[in-house]
Amino acid sequence: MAWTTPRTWVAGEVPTAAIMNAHVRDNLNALKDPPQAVAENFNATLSTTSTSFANITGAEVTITTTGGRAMIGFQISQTASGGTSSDFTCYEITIDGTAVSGHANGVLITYTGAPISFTHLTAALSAGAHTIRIQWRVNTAVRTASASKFQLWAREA
Amino acid sequence: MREITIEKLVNVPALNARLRERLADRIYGISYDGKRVIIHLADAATKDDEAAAAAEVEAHDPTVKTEDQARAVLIEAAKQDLLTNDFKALKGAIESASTLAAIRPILLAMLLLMWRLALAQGLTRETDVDAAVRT
Repeated sequence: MAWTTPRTWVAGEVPTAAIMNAHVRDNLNALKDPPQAVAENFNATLSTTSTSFANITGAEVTITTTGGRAMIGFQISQTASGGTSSDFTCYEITIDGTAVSGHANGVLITYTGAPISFTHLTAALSAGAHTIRIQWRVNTAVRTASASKFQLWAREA
Repeated sequence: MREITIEKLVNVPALNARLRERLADRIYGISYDGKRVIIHLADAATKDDEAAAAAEVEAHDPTVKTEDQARAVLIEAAKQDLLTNDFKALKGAIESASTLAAIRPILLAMLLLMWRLALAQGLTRETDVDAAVRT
């Protein structure tokens, strides 16, 4: 159910069923069940050696928002091989193809080959459909990042 | 970045090394999902580079291991051998050996044991003892 900007009531106003349904019932329903989507793969065989951010296959959701911020959550069972202890894997979030961090190393860096998870609160998004993807890259040509499980979710905050 | 997707089973580190050797900084790397390989090419890559990358993927044999992968297999095998090493038998052989001819195979067995320990720790190469000793 779509969100409606809550009505400002004026003295003496007689609420109608339509107004009450739109501003009370429907908004409560919208708060209880906001736009949301999930993508997951718990039996994945993913890997990358890319030193430029590349989409993680399947880590992609689309939500249709009403103009608010979005919360994004991501967990991944990842490992790494090759390189040294100072080498790393980093992750980026893109919304409609645009990276959210504005940083060469994305929203998160990990030097270990261990599972990670993170959540991210976006700026307000324009009302409409938005596609959210997770990307990853390694910092050196000799490192391979791999993953066996992930879950990505997004919902309007 | 440009991407080429090809459906094929690949050995990721091996193909990555080969493509980087061939295309240098005109390739960022590859991604793989167990069925398809995605080649991430830099914008500077030419049409010839695209064709070369595709040809490398087609020619790629996923069963051929990189040096590091082959070494990892040997190290794992050495660890498994160490788990089943019969120290009691070795001790019995040492105690019963009384001639140089009898001691020689014991020393070789001990050399093999030491080599496996060093290999399992990543402290030596598989070629540091000859094949005759290893078998």
